[in-house]
Amino acid sequence: MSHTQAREWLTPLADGGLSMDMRGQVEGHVTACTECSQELAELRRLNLVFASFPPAQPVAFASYWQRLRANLPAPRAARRPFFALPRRAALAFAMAALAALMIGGTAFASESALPDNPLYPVKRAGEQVLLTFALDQKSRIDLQITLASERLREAQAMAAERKGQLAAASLRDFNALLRLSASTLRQPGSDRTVKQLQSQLAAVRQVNSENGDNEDVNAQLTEGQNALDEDGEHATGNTESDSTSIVVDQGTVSGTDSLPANGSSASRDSQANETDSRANDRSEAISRHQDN
Amino acid sequence: MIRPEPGVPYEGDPEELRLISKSAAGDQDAFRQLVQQYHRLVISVAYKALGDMAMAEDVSQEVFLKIFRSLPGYRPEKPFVHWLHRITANAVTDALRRKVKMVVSLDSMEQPPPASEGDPQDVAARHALQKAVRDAIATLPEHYRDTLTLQVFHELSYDEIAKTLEIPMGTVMSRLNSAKRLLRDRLAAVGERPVADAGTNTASKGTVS
Repeated sequence: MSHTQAREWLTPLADGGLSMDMRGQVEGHVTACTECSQELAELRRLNLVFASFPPAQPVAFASYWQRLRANLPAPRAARRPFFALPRRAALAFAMAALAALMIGGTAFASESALPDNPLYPVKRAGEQVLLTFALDQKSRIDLQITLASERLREAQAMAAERKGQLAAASLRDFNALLRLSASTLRQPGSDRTVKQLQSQLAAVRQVNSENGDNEDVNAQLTEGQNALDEDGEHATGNTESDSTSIVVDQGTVSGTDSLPANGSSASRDSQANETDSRANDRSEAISRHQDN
Repeated sequence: MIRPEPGVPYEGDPEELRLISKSAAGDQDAFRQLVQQYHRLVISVAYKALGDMAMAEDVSQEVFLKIFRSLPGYRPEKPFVHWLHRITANAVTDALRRKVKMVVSLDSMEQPPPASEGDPQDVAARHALQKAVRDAIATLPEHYRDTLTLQVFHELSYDEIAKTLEIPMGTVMSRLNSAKRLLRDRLAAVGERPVADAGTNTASKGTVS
Protein backbone atom coordinates (compact mmCIF):
# COMPACT_ATOMS: atom_id res chain seq x y z
CA MET A 1 0.00 0.00 0.00
CA SER A 2 1.30 3.43 -0.95
CA HIS A 3 1.95 6.22 1.53
CA THR A 4 -0.89 8.36 0.12
CA GLN A 5 -3.35 5.49 0.31
CA ALA A 6 -2.31 4.55 3.83
CA ARG A 7 -2.74 8.13 5.05
CA GLU A 8 -6.41 7.99 4.06
CA TRP A 9 -6.97 5.04 6.38
CA LEU A 10 -5.18 6.28 9.47
CA THR A 11 -8.31 7.59 11.19
CA PRO A 12 -10.29 4.36 10.73
CA LEU A 13 -7.22 2.48 11.94
CA ALA A 14 -6.93 4.64 15.08
CA ASP A 15 -10.70 4.27 15.67
CA GLY A 16 -10.55 0.47 15.30
CA GLY A 17 -12.91 0.65 12.34
CA LEU A 18 -10.99 -1.44 9.78
CA SER A 19 -11.48 -5.03 8.73
CA MET A 20 -8.65 -7.41 9.70
CA ASP A 21 -7.41 -7.57 6.12
CA MET A 22 -7.38 -3.81 5.61
CA ARG A 23 -5.86 -3.27 9.01
CA GLY A 24 -2.95 -5.55 8.16
CA GLN A 25 -2.25 -3.65 4.96
CA VAL A 26 -2.33 -0.18 6.57
CA GLU A 27 -0.27 -1.28 9.57
CA GLY A 28 2.24 -2.82 7.17
CA HIS A 29 2.94 0.62 5.77
CA VAL A 30 2.72 2.51 9.06
CA THR A 31 5.42 0.48 10.80
CA ALA A 32 7.82 1.31 7.98
CA CYS A 33 6.88 5.03 7.74
CA THR A 34 7.88 7.54 10.42
CA GLU A 35 5.46 10.21 9.22
CA CYS A 36 2.48 7.86 9.31
CA SER A 37 3.36 6.31 12.65
CA GLN A 38 3.69 9.83 14.12
CA GLU A 39 0.31 10.80 12.64
CA LEU A 40 -1.31 7.63 13.97
CA ALA A 41 0.06 8.36 17.43
CA GLU A 42 -1.40 11.87 17.27
CA LEU A 43 -4.77 10.51 16.20
CA ARG A 44 -4.77 8.09 19.11
CA ARG A 45 -3.84 10.93 21.44
CA LEU A 46 -6.71 12.97 20.04
CA ASN A 47 -9.07 10.07 20.74
CA LEU A 48 -7.89 10.14 24.35
CA VAL A 49 -8.81 13.82 24.56
CA PHE A 50 -12.25 12.99 23.13
CA ALA A 51 -12.68 10.24 25.69
CA SER A 52 -11.74 12.64 28.47
CA PHE A 53 -14.84 14.82 28.02
CA PRO A 54 -16.68 14.20 31.28
CA PRO A 55 -20.28 12.90 31.33
CA ALA A 56 -23.13 15.25 32.18
CA GLN A 57 -24.56 15.37 35.67
CA PRO A 58 -28.02 13.86 35.99
CA VAL A 59 -30.90 16.34 35.90
CA ALA A 60 -34.18 16.18 37.81
CA PHE A 61 -36.71 15.26 35.16
CA ALA A 62 -39.75 16.82 36.84
CA SER A 63 -38.36 20.34 36.80
CA TYR A 64 -36.75 19.77 33.40
CA TRP A 65 -40.17 18.88 31.98
CA GLN A 66 -41.90 21.77 33.77
CA ARG A 67 -39.58 24.20 32.09
CA LEU A 68 -39.99 22.59 28.68
CA ARG A 69 -43.76 22.40 28.93
CA ALA A 70 -43.98 26.08 29.77
CA ASN A 71 -42.51 26.82 26.35
CA LEU A 72 -44.46 24.29 24.29
CA PRO A 73 -47.08 25.67 21.95
CA ALA A 74 -50.41 24.93 23.62
CA PRO A 75 -52.54 22.87 21.24
CA ARG A 76 -54.79 21.92 24.15
CA ALA A 77 -55.87 25.51 24.51
CA ALA A 78 -57.09 25.35 20.93
CA ARG A 79 -58.62 21.90 21.03
CA ARG A 80 -59.76 20.82 24.46
CA PRO A 81 -61.87 23.81 25.39
CA PHE A 82 -63.51 23.55 22.01
CA PHE A 83 -64.81 20.10 22.76
CA ALA A 84 -65.60 21.11 26.30
CA LEU A 85 -67.91 23.90 25.17
CA PRO A 86 -71.60 23.32 25.77
CA ARG A 87 -72.99 21.52 22.79
CA ARG A 88 -75.11 24.45 21.63
CA ALA A 89 -72.14 26.84 21.64
CA ALA A 90 -69.98 24.25 19.92
CA LEU A 91 -72.57 23.84 17.22
CA ALA A 92 -72.81 27.59 16.73
CA PHE A 93 -69.05 27.74 16.43
CA ALA A 94 -68.97 24.87 13.99
CA MET A 95 -71.69 26.53 11.93
CA ALA A 96 -69.76 29.78 11.83
CA ALA A 97 -66.59 27.99 10.87
CA LEU A 98 -68.44 26.03 8.24
CA ALA A 99 -69.93 29.21 6.84
CA ALA A 100 -66.51 30.82 6.75
CA LEU A 101 -65.20 27.77 4.95
CA MET A 102 -68.02 27.86 2.40
CA ILE A 103 -68.02 31.60 1.75
CA GLY A 104 -64.32 32.16 1.92
CA GLY A 105 -63.52 28.97 0.05
CA THR A 106 -60.72 30.49 -1.95
CA ALA A 107 -59.16 32.27 0.98
CA PHE A 108 -59.35 29.07 2.97
CA ALA A 109 -57.73 27.15 0.18
CA SER A 110 -54.91 29.60 -0.38
CA GLU A 111 -54.08 29.95 3.29
CA SER A 112 -54.45 26.38 4.34
CA ALA A 113 -51.49 24.15 5.04
CA LEU A 114 -50.17 21.63 2.55
CA PRO A 115 -49.37 18.05 3.58
CA ASP A 116 -45.67 18.81 4.09
CA ASN A 117 -46.51 21.67 6.44
CA PRO A 118 -46.19 21.02 10.19
CA LEU A 119 -49.65 22.54 10.64
CA TYR A 120 -51.25 20.07 8.26
CA PRO A 121 -52.49 17.66 10.99
CA VAL A 122 -54.14 20.64 12.68
CA LYS A 123 -55.92 21.51 9.49
CA ARG A 124 -57.09 17.92 9.06
CA ALA A 125 -58.23 17.75 12.66
CA GLY A 126 -60.21 20.94 12.07
CA GLU A 127 -61.86 19.40 9.04
CA GLN A 128 -62.87 16.36 11.06
CA VAL A 129 -64.45 18.67 13.61
CA LEU A 130 -66.43 20.44 10.93
CA LEU A 131 -67.57 17.12 9.49
CA THR A 132 -68.57 15.90 12.93
CA PHE A 133 -70.66 18.98 13.58
CA ALA A 134 -72.20 19.29 10.13
CA LEU A 135 -75.88 19.65 10.90
CA ASP A 136 -77.48 17.46 8.29
CA GLN A 137 -76.47 15.03 5.63
CA LYS A 138 -76.56 17.68 2.94
CA SER A 139 -74.20 20.12 4.59
CA ARG A 140 -71.92 17.25 5.44
CA ILE A 141 -71.77 16.11 1.85
CA ASP A 142 -71.29 19.68 0.62
CA LEU A 143 -68.37 19.96 2.98
CA GLN A 144 -67.00 16.62 1.80
CA ILE A 145 -67.03 17.87 -1.77
CA THR A 146 -65.25 21.07 -0.77
CA LEU A 147 -62.68 19.00 1.08
CA ALA A 148 -62.33 16.67 -1.91
CA SER A 149 -61.46 19.66 -4.02
CA GLU A 150 -58.96 20.75 -1.38
CA ARG A 151 -57.34 17.28 -1.44
CA LEU A 152 -56.82 17.69 -5.19
CA ARG A 153 -55.23 21.08 -4.66
CA GLU A 154 -52.83 19.49 -2.18
CA ALA A 155 -52.10 16.57 -4.48
CA GLN A 156 -51.24 18.97 -7.29
CA ALA A 157 -48.91 20.98 -5.05
CA MET A 158 -47.21 17.83 -3.76
CA ALA A 159 -46.87 16.36 -7.24
CA ALA A 160 -45.26 19.62 -8.37
CA GLU A 161 -42.66 19.14 -5.65
CA ARG A 162 -42.22 15.47 -6.54
CA LYS A 163 -43.49 14.42 -3.15
CA GLY A 164 -45.24 11.40 -4.61
CA GLN A 165 -46.14 9.73 -1.33
CA LEU A 166 -47.85 12.83 0.01
CA ALA A 167 -49.59 13.44 -3.31
CA ALA A 168 -50.84 9.84 -3.37
CA ALA A 169 -52.04 10.13 0.24
CA SER A 170 -54.07 13.24 -0.58
CA LEU A 171 -55.51 11.47 -3.61
CA ARG A 172 -56.41 8.43 -1.54
CA ASP A 173 -58.35 10.71 0.78
CA PHE A 174 -59.89 12.42 -2.23
CA ASN A 175 -61.13 9.06 -3.50
CA ALA A 176 -62.55 8.24 -0.10
CA LEU A 177 -64.41 11.57 0.02
CA LEU A 178 -65.62 10.95 -3.52
CA ARG A 179 -67.14 7.65 -2.48
CA LEU A 180 -68.80 9.32 0.50
CA SER A 181 -70.26 12.01 -1.72
CA ALA A 182 -71.35 9.75 -4.57
CA SER A 183 -75.04 9.96 -3.68
CA THR A 184 -75.00 13.74 -4.18
CA LEU A 185 -72.65 13.82 -7.13
CA ARG A 186 -74.99 11.48 -8.96
CA GLN A 187 -77.95 13.77 -8.48
CA PRO A 188 -79.13 15.40 -11.67
CA GLY A 189 -77.57 18.84 -11.87
CA SER A 190 -74.31 17.90 -10.20
CA ASP A 191 -72.55 17.46 -13.52
CA ARG A 192 -70.92 20.85 -13.23
CA THR A 193 -69.34 19.94 -9.92
CA VAL A 194 -68.21 16.64 -11.36
CA LYS A 195 -66.69 18.41 -14.36
CA GLN A 196 -64.84 20.79 -12.12
CA LEU A 197 -63.36 17.95 -10.10
CA GLN A 198 -62.49 16.17 -13.34
CA SER A 199 -60.57 19.15 -14.65
CA GLN A 200 -58.78 19.52 -11.31
CA LEU A 201 -57.90 15.83 -11.45
CA ALA A 202 -56.59 16.24 -14.99
CA ALA A 203 -54.40 19.09 -13.77
CA VAL A 204 -52.92 16.84 -11.09
CA ARG A 205 -52.23 14.17 -13.71
CA GLN A 206 -50.53 16.73 -15.91
CA VAL A 207 -48.34 18.03 -13.09
CA ASN A 208 -47.49 14.49 -11.99
CA SER A 209 -46.49 13.43 -15.50
CA GLU A 210 -44.17 16.44 -15.70
CA ASN A 211 -42.62 15.68 -12.31
CA GLY A 212 -41.44 12.12 -12.20
CA ASP A 213 -44.72 10.44 -13.19
CA ASN A 214 -45.18 8.75 -9.81
CA GLU A 215 -46.97 5.42 -10.23
CA ASP A 216 -48.82 5.49 -6.91
CA VAL A 217 -50.17 8.89 -7.84
CA ASN A 218 -51.27 7.61 -11.24
CA ALA A 219 -53.03 4.63 -9.69
CA GLN A 220 -55.01 6.91 -7.37
CA LEU A 221 -55.74 9.30 -10.23
CA THR A 222 -57.15 6.48 -12.33
CA GLU A 223 -59.38 5.36 -9.50
CA GLY A 224 -60.67 8.90 -9.04
CA GLN A 225 -61.14 9.34 -12.77
CA ASN A 226 -63.28 6.20 -13.02
CA ALA A 227 -65.41 7.20 -10.05
CA LEU A 228 -65.98 10.68 -11.44
CA ASP A 229 -66.83 9.32 -14.88
CA GLU A 230 -69.44 7.12 -13.32
CA ASP A 231 -70.84 9.96 -11.19
CA GLY A 232 -70.89 12.17 -14.28
CA GLU A 233 -72.91 9.65 -16.28
CA HIS A 234 -75.58 9.64 -13.60
CA ALA A 235 -75.55 13.39 -13.23
CA THR A 236 -75.80 14.45 -16.89
CA GLY A 237 -79.15 14.89 -18.54
CA ASN A 238 -80.26 17.66 -16.27
CA THR A 239 -78.34 20.92 -16.53
CA GLU A 240 -80.79 23.30 -14.92
CA SER A 241 -78.43 24.08 -12.05
CA ASP A 242 -76.23 26.95 -13.15
CA SER A 243 -73.60 26.96 -10.47
CA THR A 244 -70.30 28.71 -10.95
CA SER A 245 -68.28 26.79 -8.47
CA ILE A 246 -68.46 23.77 -6.28
CA VAL A 247 -68.53 25.82 -3.16
CA VAL A 248 -71.20 28.29 -4.18
CA ASP A 249 -73.34 25.68 -5.87
CA GLN A 250 -73.50 23.37 -2.91
CA GLY A 251 -73.41 26.03 -0.27
CA THR A 252 -76.14 28.44 -1.29
CA VAL A 253 -78.92 26.23 -2.50
CA SER A 254 -79.31 24.57 0.85
CA GLY A 255 -82.78 23.41 1.64
CA THR A 256 -84.17 24.03 -1.83
CA ASP A 257 -83.84 21.66 -4.72
CA SER A 258 -80.85 19.39 -4.58
CA LEU A 259 -81.20 17.71 -1.21
CA PRO A 260 -80.26 14.07 -1.28
CA ALA A 261 -83.45 12.05 -1.64
CA ASN A 262 -84.69 10.63 1.62
CA GLY A 263 -86.58 7.40 1.17
CA SER A 264 -87.87 8.28 -2.28
CA SER A 265 -87.26 4.71 -3.32
CA ALA A 266 -86.18 1.51 -1.69
CA SER A 267 -83.21 1.05 -3.95
CA ARG A 268 -81.90 4.53 -3.26
CA ASP A 269 -82.26 3.92 0.45
CA SER A 270 -80.21 0.82 0.34
CA GLN A 271 -77.61 2.58 -1.77
CA ALA A 272 -77.44 5.39 0.76
CA ASN A 273 -77.04 2.92 3.59
CA GLU A 274 -74.25 1.19 1.82
CA THR A 275 -72.55 4.50 1.18
CA ASP A 276 -72.94 5.38 4.82
CA SER A 277 -71.35 2.20 6.07
CA ARG A 278 -68.48 2.70 3.68
CA ALA A 279 -68.38 6.25 4.91
CA ASN A 280 -67.67 5.02 8.40
CA ASP A 281 -64.92 2.73 7.21
CA ARG A 282 -63.33 5.50 5.28
CA SER A 283 -63.46 8.07 8.04
CA GLU A 284 -61.63 5.58 10.21
CA ALA A 285 -59.10 5.15 7.46
CA ILE A 286 -58.75 8.91 7.19
CA SER A 287 -58.18 9.39 10.86
CA ARG A 288 -55.68 6.54 10.86
CA HIS A 289 -53.89 8.29 8.06
CA GLN A 290 -53.89 11.39 10.16
CA ASP A 291 -52.41 9.56 13.10
CA ASN A 292 -49.53 8.52 10.97
CA MET B 1 -30.31 3.48 22.66
CA ILE B 2 -33.02 2.10 20.43
CA ARG B 3 -31.76 0.90 17.13
CA PRO B 4 -33.08 -1.52 14.55
CA GLU B 5 -31.47 -4.89 13.99
CA PRO B 6 -28.85 -4.66 11.25
CA GLY B 7 -30.25 -5.53 7.85
CA VAL B 8 -33.86 -5.40 8.96
CA PRO B 9 -35.94 -2.56 7.49
CA TYR B 10 -36.91 -0.19 10.26
CA GLU B 11 -40.46 -0.64 11.40
CA GLY B 12 -40.08 1.11 14.70
CA ASP B 13 -40.96 0.25 18.22
CA PRO B 14 -44.78 0.33 18.06
CA GLU B 15 -45.01 1.93 21.48
CA GLU B 16 -42.56 4.64 20.47
CA LEU B 17 -44.32 5.23 17.15
CA ARG B 18 -47.58 5.60 19.06
CA LEU B 19 -45.99 8.22 21.31
CA ILE B 20 -44.52 10.00 18.31
CA SER B 21 -47.80 10.17 16.44
CA LYS B 22 -49.70 11.36 19.51
CA SER B 23 -47.04 13.98 20.18
CA ALA B 24 -47.23 15.11 16.57
CA ALA B 25 -50.95 15.69 17.09
CA GLY B 26 -50.13 17.89 20.07
CA ASP B 27 -50.48 15.40 22.93
CA GLN B 28 -48.17 16.79 25.59
CA ASP B 29 -48.40 13.78 27.84
CA ALA B 30 -47.14 11.50 25.06
CA PHE B 31 -44.39 14.00 24.35
CA ARG B 32 -43.40 14.00 28.02
CA GLN B 33 -42.74 10.28 27.77
CA LEU B 34 -40.57 10.77 24.68
CA VAL B 35 -38.61 13.51 26.43
CA GLN B 36 -38.20 11.32 29.49
CA GLN B 37 -36.76 8.61 27.28
CA TYR B 38 -34.29 10.84 25.42
CA HIS B 39 -33.41 13.86 27.54
CA ARG B 40 -30.34 12.23 29.07
CA LEU B 41 -28.94 11.44 25.63
CA VAL B 42 -29.45 15.00 24.36
CA ILE B 43 -28.10 16.65 27.52
CA SER B 44 -25.09 14.34 27.52
CA VAL B 45 -24.23 15.23 23.91
CA ALA B 46 -24.66 18.94 24.60
CA TYR B 47 -22.55 18.79 27.75
CA LYS B 48 -19.70 16.96 26.02
CA ALA B 49 -19.73 19.59 23.29
CA LEU B 50 -20.12 22.68 25.47
CA GLY B 51 -18.56 21.68 28.78
CA ASP B 52 -21.12 23.75 30.65
CA MET B 53 -24.10 22.18 32.36
CA ALA B 54 -26.41 25.22 32.26
CA MET B 55 -25.71 25.79 28.60
CA ALA B 56 -26.16 22.09 27.84
CA GLU B 57 -29.57 22.12 29.49
CA ASP B 58 -30.61 25.24 27.57
CA VAL B 59 -29.59 23.69 24.25
CA SER B 60 -31.35 20.41 25.06
CA GLN B 61 -34.54 22.36 25.78
CA GLU B 62 -34.20 24.05 22.38
CA VAL B 63 -33.77 20.63 20.80
CA PHE B 64 -36.98 19.26 22.28
CA LEU B 65 -38.97 22.38 21.38
CA LYS B 66 -37.72 22.01 17.84
CA ILE B 67 -38.64 18.33 17.84
CA PHE B 68 -42.12 19.04 19.15
CA ARG B 69 -42.70 21.54 16.39
CA SER B 70 -41.22 19.34 13.66
CA LEU B 71 -42.76 16.02 14.70
CA PRO B 72 -45.61 16.23 12.17
CA GLY B 73 -42.91 16.16 9.48
CA TYR B 74 -41.18 13.07 10.87
CA ARG B 75 -41.50 10.03 8.61
CA PRO B 76 -41.26 6.70 10.41
CA GLU B 77 -39.25 5.06 7.59
CA LYS B 78 -36.23 6.35 9.44
CA PRO B 79 -35.50 5.51 13.08
CA PHE B 80 -36.56 8.31 15.36
CA VAL B 81 -33.21 8.27 17.14
CA HIS B 82 -31.33 9.14 13.89
CA TRP B 83 -33.62 12.07 13.39
CA LEU B 84 -33.09 13.11 16.99
CA HIS B 85 -29.30 12.90 16.59
CA ARG B 86 -29.42 15.09 13.54
CA ILE B 87 -31.49 17.82 15.17
CA THR B 88 -29.33 17.63 18.29
CA ALA B 89 -26.11 17.87 16.27
CA ASN B 90 -27.35 21.00 14.51
CA ALA B 91 -28.40 22.70 17.73
CA VAL B 92 -25.21 21.71 19.52
CA THR B 93 -22.83 22.87 16.80
CA ASP B 94 -24.73 26.16 16.52
CA ALA B 95 -24.40 26.67 20.26
CA LEU B 96 -20.72 25.73 20.17
CA ARG B 97 -20.06 28.29 17.45
CA ARG B 98 -21.97 30.97 19.35
CA LYS B 99 -19.93 30.10 22.42
CA VAL B 100 -16.63 30.35 20.57
CA LYS B 101 -17.61 33.79 19.29
CA MET B 102 -18.43 34.97 22.78
CA VAL B 103 -15.36 33.37 24.26
CA VAL B 104 -13.11 36.38 23.76
CA SER B 105 -15.13 38.41 26.24
CA LEU B 106 -16.03 35.58 28.57
CA ASP B 107 -12.74 33.73 28.69
CA SER B 108 -11.61 35.40 31.83
CA MET B 109 -14.84 34.49 33.60
CA GLU B 110 -14.88 30.84 32.67
CA GLN B 111 -14.37 28.58 35.63
CA PRO B 112 -12.76 25.16 35.30
CA PRO B 113 -15.07 22.36 36.47
CA PRO B 114 -14.68 21.35 40.11
CA ALA B 115 -11.60 19.15 40.33
CA SER B 116 -12.23 15.93 42.17
CA GLU B 117 -8.94 14.23 41.59
CA GLY B 118 -5.38 14.69 40.48
CA ASP B 119 -2.85 17.45 40.42
CA PRO B 120 -4.62 20.85 40.02
CA GLN B 121 -2.11 21.75 37.32
CA ASP B 122 -2.93 18.61 35.37
CA VAL B 123 -6.63 19.29 35.74
CA ALA B 124 -6.22 22.84 34.49
CA ALA B 125 -4.11 21.64 31.58
CA ARG B 126 -6.66 18.99 30.67
CA HIS B 127 -9.43 21.54 30.85
CA ALA B 128 -7.48 23.88 28.56
CA LEU B 129 -6.89 21.12 26.04
CA GLN B 130 -10.53 20.03 26.05
CA LYS B 131 -11.59 23.60 25.49
CA ALA B 132 -9.09 24.05 22.66
CA VAL B 133 -10.40 20.89 20.99
CA ARG B 134 -14.03 21.98 21.29
CA ASP B 135 -13.24 25.43 19.90
CA ALA B 136 -11.26 23.95 17.03
CA ILE B 137 -14.13 21.61 16.15
CA ALA B 138 -16.48 24.61 16.10
CA THR B 139 -14.38 26.33 13.46
CA LEU B 140 -14.21 23.37 11.05
CA PRO B 141 -16.08 23.53 7.73
CA GLU B 142 -19.69 22.44 8.18
CA HIS B 143 -19.66 18.88 6.83
CA TYR B 144 -16.47 18.03 8.73
CA ARG B 145 -17.85 19.61 11.88
CA ASP B 146 -21.14 17.71 11.70
CA THR B 147 -19.51 14.35 11.06
CA LEU B 148 -16.92 14.82 13.77
CA THR B 149 -19.60 16.05 16.22
CA LEU B 150 -21.52 12.83 15.74
CA GLN B 151 -18.42 10.79 16.47
CA VAL B 152 -16.96 12.80 19.33
CA PHE B 153 -19.92 14.25 21.22
CA HIS B 154 -22.67 11.81 20.22
CA GLU B 155 -20.24 8.86 20.43
CA LEU B 156 -21.80 7.18 17.40
CA SER B 157 -20.15 4.38 15.44
CA TYR B 158 -19.22 4.82 11.76
CA ASP B 159 -22.32 2.87 10.83
CA GLU B 160 -24.60 5.02 12.97
CA ILE B 161 -23.06 8.21 11.58
CA ALA B 162 -23.61 6.95 8.04
CA LYS B 163 -27.27 6.23 8.78
CA THR B 164 -27.85 9.49 10.62
CA LEU B 165 -26.39 11.62 7.84
CA GLU B 166 -27.64 9.27 5.10
CA ILE B 167 -24.21 9.07 3.50
CA PRO B 168 -22.06 6.03 2.62
CA MET B 169 -19.69 4.61 5.20
CA GLY B 170 -16.67 5.40 2.98
CA THR B 171 -17.67 9.06 3.03
CA VAL B 172 -17.87 8.97 6.82
CA MET B 173 -14.32 7.59 7.01
CA SER B 174 -12.83 10.07 4.56
CA ARG B 175 -14.62 13.01 6.18
CA LEU B 176 -13.40 12.00 9.62
CA ASN B 177 -9.88 11.52 8.30
CA SER B 178 -9.83 14.99 6.75
CA ALA B 179 -11.63 16.56 9.70
CA LYS B 180 -9.09 15.22 12.17
CA ARG B 181 -6.14 16.25 10.02
CA LEU B 182 -7.54 19.77 9.90
CA LEU B 183 -8.27 19.65 13.61
CA ARG B 184 -4.68 18.71 14.40
CA ASP B 185 -3.44 21.58 12.22
CA ARG B 186 -5.69 24.07 14.02
CA LEU B 187 -4.65 22.77 17.44
CA ALA B 188 -1.02 23.04 16.48
CA ALA B 189 -1.63 26.62 15.35
CA VAL B 190 -2.89 27.59 18.82
CA GLY B 191 -0.11 25.65 20.53
CA GLU B 192 -2.34 22.82 21.80
CA ARG B 193 -0.86 19.91 20.01
CA PRO B 194 -1.66 16.56 21.56
CA VAL B 195 1.47 15.02 20.11
CA ALA B 196 3.33 11.91 21.16
CA ASP B 197 6.16 13.74 22.91
CA ALA B 198 3.88 14.67 25.76
CA GLY B 199 6.76 15.32 28.10
CA THR B 200 7.43 18.67 26.47
CA ASN B 201 3.80 19.68 26.20
CA THR B 202 2.04 20.54 29.42
CA ALA B 203 -1.32 20.84 27.73
CA SER B 204 -1.49 17.19 26.76
CA LYS B 205 -0.15 15.83 30.02
CA GLY B 206 -3.53 15.47 31.62
CA THR B 207 -4.82 13.24 28.86
CA VAL B 208 -2.07 10.70 29.12
CA SER B 209 -2.51 8.12 31.75
